[in-house]
Amino acid sequence: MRTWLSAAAIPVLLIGLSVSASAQTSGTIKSHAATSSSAKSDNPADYVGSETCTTCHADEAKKFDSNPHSKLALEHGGKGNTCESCHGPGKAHVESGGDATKIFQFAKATPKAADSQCLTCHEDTHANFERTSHGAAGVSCITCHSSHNAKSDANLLKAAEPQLCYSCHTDAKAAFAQPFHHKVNEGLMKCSDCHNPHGTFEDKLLKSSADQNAVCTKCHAETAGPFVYEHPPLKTEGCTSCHFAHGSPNPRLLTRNNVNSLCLQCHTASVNFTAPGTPSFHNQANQYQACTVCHTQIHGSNASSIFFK
Amino acid sequence: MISTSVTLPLSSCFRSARLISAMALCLAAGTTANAQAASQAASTTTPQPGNKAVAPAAPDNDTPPAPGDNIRFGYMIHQSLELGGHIADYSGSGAVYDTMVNLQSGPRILNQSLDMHAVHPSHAMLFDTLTTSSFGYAGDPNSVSLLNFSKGRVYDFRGSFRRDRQYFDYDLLDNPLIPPASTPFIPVLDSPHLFNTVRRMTDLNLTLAPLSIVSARFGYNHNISEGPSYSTLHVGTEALLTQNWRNATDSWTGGLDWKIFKHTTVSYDQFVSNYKGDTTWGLAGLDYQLANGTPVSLGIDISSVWKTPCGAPLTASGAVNPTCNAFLSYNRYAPTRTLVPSEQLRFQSTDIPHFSLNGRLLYSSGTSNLNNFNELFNGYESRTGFRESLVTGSASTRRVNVNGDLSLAWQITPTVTATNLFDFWDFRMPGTNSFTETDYTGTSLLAPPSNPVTTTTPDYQFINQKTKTNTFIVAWDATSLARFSIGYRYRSRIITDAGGDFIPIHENWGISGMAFRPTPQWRVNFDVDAMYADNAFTRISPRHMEHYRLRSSYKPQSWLTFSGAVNIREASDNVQTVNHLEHNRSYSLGSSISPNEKWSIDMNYGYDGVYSSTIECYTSTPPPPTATTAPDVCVAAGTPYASTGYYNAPTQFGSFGFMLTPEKRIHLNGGYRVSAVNGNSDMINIRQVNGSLQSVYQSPYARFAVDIAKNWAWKADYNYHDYGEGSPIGPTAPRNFRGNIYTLAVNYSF
Repeated sequence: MRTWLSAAAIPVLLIGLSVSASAQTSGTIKSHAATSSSAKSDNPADYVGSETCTTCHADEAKKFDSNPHSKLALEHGGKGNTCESCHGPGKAHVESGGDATKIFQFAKATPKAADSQCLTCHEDTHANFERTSHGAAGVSCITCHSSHNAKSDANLLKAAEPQLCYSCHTDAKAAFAQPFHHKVNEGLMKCSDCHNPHGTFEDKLLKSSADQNAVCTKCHAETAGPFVYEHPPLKTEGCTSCHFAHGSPNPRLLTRNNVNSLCLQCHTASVNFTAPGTPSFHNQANQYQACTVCHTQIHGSNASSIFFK
Repeated sequence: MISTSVTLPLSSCFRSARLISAMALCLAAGTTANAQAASQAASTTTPQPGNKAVAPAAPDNDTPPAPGDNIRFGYMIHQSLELGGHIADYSGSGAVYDTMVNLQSGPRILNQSLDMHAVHPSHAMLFDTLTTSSFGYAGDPNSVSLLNFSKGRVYDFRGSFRRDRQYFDYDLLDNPLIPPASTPFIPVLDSPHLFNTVRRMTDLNLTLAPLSIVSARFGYNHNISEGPSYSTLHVGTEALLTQNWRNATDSWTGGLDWKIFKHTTVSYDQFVSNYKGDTTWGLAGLDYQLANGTPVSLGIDISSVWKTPCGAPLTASGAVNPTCNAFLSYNRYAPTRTLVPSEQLRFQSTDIPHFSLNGRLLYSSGTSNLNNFNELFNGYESRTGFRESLVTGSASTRRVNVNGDLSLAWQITPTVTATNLFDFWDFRMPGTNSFTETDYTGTSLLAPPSNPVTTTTPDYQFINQKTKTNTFIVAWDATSLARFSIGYRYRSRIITDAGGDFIPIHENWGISGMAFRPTPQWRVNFDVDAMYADNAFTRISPRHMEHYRLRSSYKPQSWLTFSGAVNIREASDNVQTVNHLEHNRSYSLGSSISPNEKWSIDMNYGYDGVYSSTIECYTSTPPPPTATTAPDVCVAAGTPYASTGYYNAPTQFGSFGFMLTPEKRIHLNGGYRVSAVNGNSDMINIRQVNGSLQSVYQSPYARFAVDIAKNWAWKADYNYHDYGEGSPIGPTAPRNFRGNIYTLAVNYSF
């Protein structure tokens, strides 16, 4: 009940804050909207060319040499453009003596407008980005990427993984600090090894293997099977039935510190469940300390229906 | 990493050789890129279609190099190499230190990087950009190399090689916890499932003509995991086995992207994955002797308290009782080969005004074959009188997987969008095997195996699941500051298996979301998902689930960021005799203050409360103090005692870090990280202890770097790792440790 009340209070609070902030900043926002000039024009005369931009924006131009977007210049026999491909036609901006409201400014644009500009070119690999949890939350392309001040060459990220992801997913940072964790902080893995921040057809932006197995099986290939004797929840419910994905206080990232307790959650006699209950000869006071001492091949087996070998 | 660029007037020969060597080293080491990255690269630089036919010419990136730039062969080059080593000094449990840290003393290649950017990209022959970096070579548990290079619109290559040592020896896991009252008392001090394996993973991705209407992608992944480990096998007693771990997967990808219309791309991918499992098993050791001197293993469960492997395993002379459960020899081979070809067709389009669509169709049909299974047991199982058994046979399994996904987003008005996503997922996994087992009986370990009986047992199993999910969401951009969304998801799952089970599950979800941007610097998101299902596959699969997520990020200044998250998931399967309840309530905050290049501070705090309880039934003689009477269905099944299955793990995390550059040539870093859990659980086994469920893991650190000369920097790094458990040790070895790791390095950047 308390959770429900808390949950109900949060949106009310947020709406209140939003309305309040809206009243205070609407002028600012409208102004910002006005500063984001149209990024498209079909009139060639509206474009001034990157050389003109370099006249004032020399620093940006220099850094741009190592930027993948500089390849735009290679288009059309070396007659492609660069600055104005993203910032829109610059003629009005130049003629006004550098009026910032006469050019498209990503930082001042709404997330959707900024995304729209990037997705003009990147839509084929980030299809329907606005549908994803990031897009829906107003996390725009420029939240994570910076064309001019990227800290990570790969993909022009504002910061390297995982720090970039931690900047919002503060809970993930705590999870990866637990005694048993996937080696993300150590630099061996990246968040994007398992998640596609631009969206997938899976929950939690999860990737999957080529054959639509769990993404875990890319590294933990021995668990992928297929096996004659499958441990069914692995295939129907997923690895997270028994393991935490990021970090855990328990060895092997198990969801419980006691293997027997973990197994008994499902393997207890009960009506309407197919998982067999623990046999009566499994006397918990005797040597059956951990189920996996005997049931070693718990992820699946071709030779033993009880996962002994 | 300190990087200084200078023009070096010396002959370039030596440096060129070194440059090429470094590149060759990285290439030889392997490399890669993930498929996503490659596909992203494929679309990195398509010009704006609306402009490309009319835009004026742009300069050819002919920005003149700065005086300090290192130009060689037409490339602006930055390199750095960091050599040094660790001095590791630890006390306490070496096994757990190696499990969690595993940094050892010795010289290391700590870091290496090379960036090459063509001064005139149109004049570069092989590539116009190349970047590579590596760390952790010459003995660290984790070694990584990255290599990316591209040539304009011709190709884009991304590669990586990753090697990591998986040392695992947390002694409570799978430990039989021998009662100290046993005579003799032979505790098991290490985990019987100790691992010391190495995984090497290579990813290579090449995209040809990334900017063209038709581009091609090629990928290769090699993943090999090998090394020694322990396992166990129950035949009368639990023998400790040496498990020589070796499995390898090779995966190939070929794909084509065709921009069929201005805003429509169709992609085809072909994947082939080949898995080879060659892990073998054998007895880890023969620790005892029979009266005739024959070596024998009694396994890891040697306790007079529970009378294993028999009531009196050793005779007065110290020889093994020949009627005890014991192993004389054991080996097992199960070479497994799995070939999985998959095809995928994807498309995305925004050519229809106000609509955006994307979808895919994937078909995969994998076959796994175990052709020469061979298992030989020689020993004695007193319950059955088995003296020896030989099992041979084969198995074959298929996994046929079909996926179909279609997403349609309709921009109804400039502020209202409706999205429908339909997902279809169907897999079936039929498998057969046939094993021939020849069992010999005997009266003792000293008696020869006799009376062979051979049986051949075929079996057929399958598990199938068909899932259909439809998610419909309407989003409304109420203002430029607020977006609201609400939706409904219906999911149908049907699970069937060879046991005749037919399990339909219908889920109904309510989905809502709010995204606020009260100011351009402040973002707040709040999402709620609630689910009800009419059935559950397992006892812990939720029939009710609520998930609340609140995330906020506030950046009042470019140098100041506050962020926080509340993530609460409540789930239950509270049907009779199960009463499963669980929650995961996480609250976390973070802030970053970075006003200038001279100093910065980073602070984080997190609390995560993980709780679950499920009625668990078991038998125990005697019952543990916490046992209660089990439900009737359990009593009828011969498991008369019940536990609440209580598990509670409240975890707190805190970190503080700072960076200080008092003057240009001196750099200081320091900080402290701690993760502490004070949990508890209902113990069925009276010898079980909470172990890591009551633990504190803290690691303060300090780093110092000074530029000692032009291009040269000296670095010192100190990390302290302290792991301590608050619960009793239990009948095993202690697990606490403290480790000091000093790292000294010299960095040369040029």
